[in-house]
Amino acid sequence: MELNQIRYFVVLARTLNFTRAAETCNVSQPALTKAIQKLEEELGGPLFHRERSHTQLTDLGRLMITPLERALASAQEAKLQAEAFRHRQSSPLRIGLEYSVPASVLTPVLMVLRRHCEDAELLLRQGSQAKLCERMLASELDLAVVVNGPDLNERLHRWPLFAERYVLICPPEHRFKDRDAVAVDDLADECLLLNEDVDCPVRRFLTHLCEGRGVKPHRQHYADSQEQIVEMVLASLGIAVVGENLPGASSLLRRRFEGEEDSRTIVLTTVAGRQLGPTPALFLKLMRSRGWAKDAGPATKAVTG
Amino acid sequence: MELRRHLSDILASRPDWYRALLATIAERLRVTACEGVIRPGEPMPDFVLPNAEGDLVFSDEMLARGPLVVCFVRGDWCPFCRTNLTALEEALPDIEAAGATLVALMPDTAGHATRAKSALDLHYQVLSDVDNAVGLRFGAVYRVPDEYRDALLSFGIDLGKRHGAETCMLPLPATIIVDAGGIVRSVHVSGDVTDRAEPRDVVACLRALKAGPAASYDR
Repeated sequence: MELNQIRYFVVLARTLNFTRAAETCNVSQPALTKAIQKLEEELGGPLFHRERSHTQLTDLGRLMITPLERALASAQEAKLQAEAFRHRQSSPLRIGLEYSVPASVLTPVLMVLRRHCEDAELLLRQGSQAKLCERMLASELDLAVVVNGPDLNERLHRWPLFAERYVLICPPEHRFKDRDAVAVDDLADECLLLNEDVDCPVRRFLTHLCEGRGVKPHRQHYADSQEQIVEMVLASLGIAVVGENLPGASSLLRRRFEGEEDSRTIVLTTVAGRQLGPTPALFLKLMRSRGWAKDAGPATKAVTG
Repeated sequence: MELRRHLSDILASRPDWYRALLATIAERLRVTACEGVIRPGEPMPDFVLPNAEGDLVFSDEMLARGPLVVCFVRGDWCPFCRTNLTALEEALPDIEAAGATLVALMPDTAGHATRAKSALDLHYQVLSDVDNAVGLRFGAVYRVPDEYRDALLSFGIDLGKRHGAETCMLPLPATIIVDAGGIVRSVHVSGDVTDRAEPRDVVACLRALKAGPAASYDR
């Protein structure tokens, strides 16, 4: 399909008026009509009901509006990215990171961007899901890496990056050292270190897990960052739960929960419909094109297609 | 062996119903989608895309080294495309000897370009054309009909998951040769999955480009 056909369709779907759509697109009405007809042939049916006084989208037309709008936007963005980078122009890159998501998720891509657009100003902001979401909607952040969940604002578009398990981290000499996995019931004798924020996804997961089994940890301590929590575990003040991809703290024991598979999905979010600057848009492309260690299974076996 | 023969053999091994479906789609695309593809004589749209190594690749930097062969493939899930990519790998020394750079674009995300490149042992750039954005600018993208999407799903191929988006579009298999000035010189495109540019024709076109400035535009 031609980009012009898509553009004419998107404009006509908005205006529902051939004359005005042709004006907006700066083409003659017959040219617009012909382009729409060609698109209809390709998509296998009419996109509009053409009635004397007004034009309406058909079911197929309604079905196509979102994918074609997105296609048009991505093609237009690609043009801007290529132009910006030909002139070596960069735009600021403002990324939010949920407290429990390690910044190491971003570093490989940030290193690539640094090579190609070293002028791009970078802002990294850690925060709670709610706070990051607020900042995204207020245009204070371009993208955020968060934990997927039903509470994420509907206006955020989610690009899944990878799924991971939650694991327990314990001091090296902890009684769990000889086990592969830990049962939730075993938490009853433990001191748990939790994020102060009750909406923190890790805390929610743990609360859900414990309540599900009617388990009440022996004691709980609180901190307001994952770094502090890790420090506290290192100091043997208790044990804590983290995403399994949290790097570092190699002296700590990591134990999975019995019967728990992938506990959470890490998603990259953008505000739906908002156009990104060239640098954030390239950041998004690089993040989406990457294979994430755990998800990256073996190469595709021979399949029919 | 000719690439076309290889591809016909693969097609022959597919079930009848699937061959019939591919034929229907090819026919529909022949009369619609292929017309919108970039034409010889037109300037190639610039692009910047992630490659299999997770780095960014710029079309202008590649063009600065000489002509460019841009090959759109559907993905490493497609046996026709895998064979196409391998055939191009075999022709790579000749392509490079003609001073050109070869680059393959696929809409798959999430590390598929990386896996394709290593599984097929390719030594040219394999780029992830996220959201088909570049393919769209070449006019070489079509909406996958529902019956085709469902057939692929029945084989365990989830385009939405692979593309990281539910727009359900695929590139038309296309091989586009661009001269060092960024002008498209040759376009081979088809809705028929077995109809691809023969690597030896690509090499011949590049050699002709190298030999002289005769502006013969092939389509």
